[in-house]
Amino acid sequence: MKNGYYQTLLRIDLTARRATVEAIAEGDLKKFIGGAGLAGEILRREVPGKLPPYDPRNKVIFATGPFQGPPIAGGAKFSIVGISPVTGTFADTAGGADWGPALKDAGYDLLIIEGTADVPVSLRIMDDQVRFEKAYHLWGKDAYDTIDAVHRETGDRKLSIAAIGPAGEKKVAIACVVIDKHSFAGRCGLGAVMGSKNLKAIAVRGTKKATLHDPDGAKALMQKLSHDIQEEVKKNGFREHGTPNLCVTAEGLGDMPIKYWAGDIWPEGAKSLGAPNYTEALNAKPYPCKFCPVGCHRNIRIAEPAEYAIEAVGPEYETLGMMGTNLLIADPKAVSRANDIANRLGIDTISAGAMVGFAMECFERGWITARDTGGVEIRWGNPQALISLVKQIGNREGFGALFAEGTLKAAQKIGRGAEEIVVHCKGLDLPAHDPRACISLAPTYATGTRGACHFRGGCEDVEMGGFYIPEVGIRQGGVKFFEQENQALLAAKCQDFFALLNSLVLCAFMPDGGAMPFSGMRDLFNAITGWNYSCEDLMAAGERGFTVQRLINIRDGYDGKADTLPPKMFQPAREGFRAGKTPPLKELLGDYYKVRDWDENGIPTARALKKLDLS
Amino acid sequence: MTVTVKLMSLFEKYRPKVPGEKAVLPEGASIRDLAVQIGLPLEYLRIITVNGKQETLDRILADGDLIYFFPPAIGGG
Repeated sequence: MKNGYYQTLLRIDLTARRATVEAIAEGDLKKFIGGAGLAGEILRREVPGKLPPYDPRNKVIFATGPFQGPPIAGGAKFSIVGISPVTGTFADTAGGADWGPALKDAGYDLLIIEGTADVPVSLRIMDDQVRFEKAYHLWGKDAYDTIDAVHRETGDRKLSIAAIGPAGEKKVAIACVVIDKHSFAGRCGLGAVMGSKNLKAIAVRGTKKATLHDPDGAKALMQKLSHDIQEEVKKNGFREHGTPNLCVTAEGLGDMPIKYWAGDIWPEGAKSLGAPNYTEALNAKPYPCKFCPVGCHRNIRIAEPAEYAIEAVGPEYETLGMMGTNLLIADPKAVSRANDIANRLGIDTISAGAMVGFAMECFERGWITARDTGGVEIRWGNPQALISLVKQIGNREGFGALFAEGTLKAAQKIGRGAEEIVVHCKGLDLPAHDPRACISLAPTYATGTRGACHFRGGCEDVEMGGFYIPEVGIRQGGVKFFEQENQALLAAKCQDFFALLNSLVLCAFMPDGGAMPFSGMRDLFNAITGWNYSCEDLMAAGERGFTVQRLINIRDGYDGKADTLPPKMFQPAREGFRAGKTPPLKELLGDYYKVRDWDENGIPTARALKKLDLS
Repeated sequence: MTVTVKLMSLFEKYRPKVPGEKAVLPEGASIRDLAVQIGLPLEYLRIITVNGKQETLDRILADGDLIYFFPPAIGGG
């Protein structure tokens, strides 16, 4: 097969401790490409009805695509797919570092985990060898110590390791998967599903190389694309400053969360947390995934004050938003400390920040008191409250245990109408982008197949000038802030484009930040696969993957009635760029359903499914 | 005419070109003229507001205008 795939999946049944190798039909790859697209379709076929997320029949599918294996800028990615404990339905999340290429080099496009081990185990996959190893001694260790222990015990530093921390073991719903102490497959709680299966870690190394259709052509394209991205990120500051470059712009345009979405402006906070102050105050340096010329992750070094002293992976924009401005905490060192604790315990920093924000608002309203929180004053701007609560949430202990099933369930336990102030879609906390500022986010969040997510769309970065996709008509000036025209079309196209990225699998920061053109991506895809796809063909594959995810959600009870935004998103700001504005969700959804050819209940029509060759 | 100029985030390095955040321009000058005078990279001038509203480079400025130059929102992840 000279198409960049092995057309092979590895299936692990943890209950039976059995590993089997199966073929993947080329037709499935041509339709779904790989990654979250293909894994979503497999989830639809193999989990045919609504299932509790911790049921042994739930799966955790680790998926690569044609862009893993060769040294492609942004190709050190992979997707993880399963039923989410946060939303109760489809979820995908992406990780980086070295794990995706390592699985591919071991000879597998996909790894399906099913069943439940009777005792804690870890997996070691080296080409054709698959070992089930006891993990009693790893159980209870944080994710970083786990990764270090596996390296030490195997003596193999080249193993790439995806692990869970104590949060995953204890089935904290927002538990993430930690990769190589470097990258975090953060959202939707698939780390908790790993924990429910008693699976602590998966270590992978491979020595194979997938065969490409046109290796010389692919090599030339890879080199040119990587070179151009490298030049772009040097010029635009992304290399030097990473995602914290976004803070001041996002706050200035009303996009950054302030005081759990009830605040309007906080320029001082954004300036303190964002670049260039972040870079200087934290001694931040780029920390690239394999083959990456961008290096968006940050390595930071804080010497003082002692309580925040760390040398570790630094917080990214999302964390600066959710654990910073969202809580009225302006100190990037305090946020870095909380971020590091969350990373080690293995929890999603976006949802963790949302939970602390929700708790601070409940505290302010008197719905919870220091008696409930073990004496901690959970007040706005208090970094000790943030750090304390992150520890408790990650360890499922004390007051933090209230959040073990997500923010929405915590609110239901608190009662008093607390559900009304939770800022979520389908149970997933909003990330640090505000649909009152970038209204294309309104249909993006409302219809998001994993709940509220900016990174299953990226339309807010188009609205704020970050990137364009001219090959599919997304150009500068195509939409204007707060004006309805073309916003639903932008939302749908961006969802399809990002679904494609998560199928290839390609890091979104190659086009969004690195200015990698879609045409270059297409040419590289064709050099690898030999399939001669157009940009339209690739977008159709993205749309197909997105639609399959939608169909899973509809099957599980999320139809158009669930396409909503939380009440706070209809409360306008009093000052700042978005003063007086709220998103016209009903009108935007009407436009969006028309663009998608879905009926008034948000169900894809037979015509839409036929066009995508789906049933 | 005199306008007030806010250079945000990574555009801070151009601040010495607008002492006291003020710029003096001839009548009829556009945002593009102002940007060229400051030396801002035109290719990254995608988000500009004047008196709180989004504008494009061709907008003609008036005395007393408040202009924000934001770098593009790169990497919203």
